[in-house]
Amino acid sequence: MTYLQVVLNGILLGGFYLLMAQGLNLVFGVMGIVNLAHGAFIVLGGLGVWSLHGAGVNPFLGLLVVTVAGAALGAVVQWAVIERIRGTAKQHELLTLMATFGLSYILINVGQQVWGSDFRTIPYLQSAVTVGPFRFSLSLLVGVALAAAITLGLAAWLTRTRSGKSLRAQAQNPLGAGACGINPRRLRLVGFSVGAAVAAAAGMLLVLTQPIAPQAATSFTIVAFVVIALGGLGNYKGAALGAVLVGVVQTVAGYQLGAVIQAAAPYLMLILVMLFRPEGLLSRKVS
Amino acid sequence: MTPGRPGPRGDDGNAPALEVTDLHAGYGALRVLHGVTMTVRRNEVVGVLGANGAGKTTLLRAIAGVVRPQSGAVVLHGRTVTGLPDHAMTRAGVGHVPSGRELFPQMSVEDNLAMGAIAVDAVRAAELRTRVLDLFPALGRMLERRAGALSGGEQQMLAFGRALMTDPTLLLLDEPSTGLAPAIVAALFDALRQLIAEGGMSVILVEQNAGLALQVVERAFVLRQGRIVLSGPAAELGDDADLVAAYLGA
Ligand SMILES: Nc1ncnc2c1ncn2[C@@H]1O[C@H](COP(=O)(O)OP(=O)(O)OP(=O)(O)O)[C@@H](O)[C@H]1O
Ligand SMILES: [Mg+2]
Repeated sequence: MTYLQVVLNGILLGGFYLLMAQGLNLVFGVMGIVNLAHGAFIVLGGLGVWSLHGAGVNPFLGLLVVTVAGAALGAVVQWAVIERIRGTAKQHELLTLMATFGLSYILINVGQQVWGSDFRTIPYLQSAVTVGPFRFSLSLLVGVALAAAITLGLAAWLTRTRSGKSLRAQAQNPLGAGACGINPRRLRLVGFSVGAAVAAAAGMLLVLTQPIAPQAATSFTIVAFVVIALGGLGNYKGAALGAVLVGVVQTVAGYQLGAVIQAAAPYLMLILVMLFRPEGLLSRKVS
Repeated sequence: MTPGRPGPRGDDGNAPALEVTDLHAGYGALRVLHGVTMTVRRNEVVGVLGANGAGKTTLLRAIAGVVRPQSGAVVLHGRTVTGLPDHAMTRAGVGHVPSGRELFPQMSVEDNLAMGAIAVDAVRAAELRTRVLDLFPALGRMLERRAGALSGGEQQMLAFGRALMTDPTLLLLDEPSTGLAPAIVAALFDALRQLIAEGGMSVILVEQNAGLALQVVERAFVLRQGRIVLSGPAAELGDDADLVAAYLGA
């Protein structure tokens, strides 16, 4: 492999990471909290498609199924748990954070009951594609193309539609949103549901390219968090930069320094961001 | 906003635009309003004057549902709305131009206006937009700009315009003149006068600049340490400048 090939692989990996981070960013925007169960939604989506594939369902049909299921699960969690905590407690943000941590734990355990702890991947689209001097696996290319399509769809929803704009309005200024007659409770339901749906979709794309298991959920949450922390929490454009950066750094580190550093790279980046640019790479400091 | 349009939602026909009775409100343990009672008649324009920290903003927030009243009653066009959250108050016809403006900084002027009309049907929203751009032609020339990139005066116009987009029957204005150049203040107050002249809307104008407010309002209340200590027709209060100054200075 040439060096350029490694960097290109990193950029493609960044495409996945961006999709993984989108849902987390969305939920952070409307709720003001980091959803620690995000990685669990990703894993359940991926393993759901894996099981459907085992039962003879085409992975792309499986993608549709787990996306819809993710939306439903997200809506139920928001309605049954998170909104209730918000309604009852004063320090609801800390409690909500802890609730999503507990939820992650539960979902990982349920996942291990259903799928065990083995890492699983779908042998699909395994052929290699040669572009000039570079070689990519077809599944990686298809996955990135899908991730880009979903990301663009999400961006169009957020910038063009009434519900998407309301969501951004709520994230940018809750008081202003109230003055416009926007009901935040309904928006939180929509936001959390869409966030979970996108996470499940990201899981499907992941399982095409790498083996996943329920216990990997936490590391996915961390990677997604590093991406949005690099971009500045809630900053949708910043997240794209963050995703590519994490993807490239991780791939290059793996190539140069080995698998241990590769796995540790997102955590190291998280520490560096928190130390030197806690407001994100793109944010200008507001006086 | 349009003369002769059907009455406000849920209107019983005769009720005042707003009746506030023995209202207590504050922030957590801090009590700010200690029993405010006031009535705003339909299509009336009233002022609320008072020194820093008197509770003017808190009074508007309690009426707009941003701050939940601790006790007392808020009745809008004969309908009791005490304790409703802000988004419900907006839908009930209260348009709030908050003191912090509270715009959506990353969204365009156009989208900020559109958000104001999110609960209004499309036909009416188009009418309202035309009206707002008529009142504030400057906004029409910067529809694509981000709200966060506007000057203070432009942001105030946008906050005003966004509140009008909610199609209010009662408009709450919180110190629109604060921190703005005289020419901008003049433009804002011209727009306000034009709106008032058209009728169809009641207005509560909060101002520290009593002279300015008393030129526009019919009646005014003076708030001091969370209580109304003086009220009367603007003309009378204006004549008794010493009295007003005494309270405002305190
Ligand atoms: N969000 C808040 N949390 C806690 N206390 C607040 C808050 N907002 C205002 N206060 C306090 O409530 C009291 C009344 O404030 P309020 O903003 O209603 O006064 P005001 O008459 O609008 O003053 P100004 O002319 O400065 O705008 C003050 O003592 C203020 O410090
Ligand atoms: Mg004030």
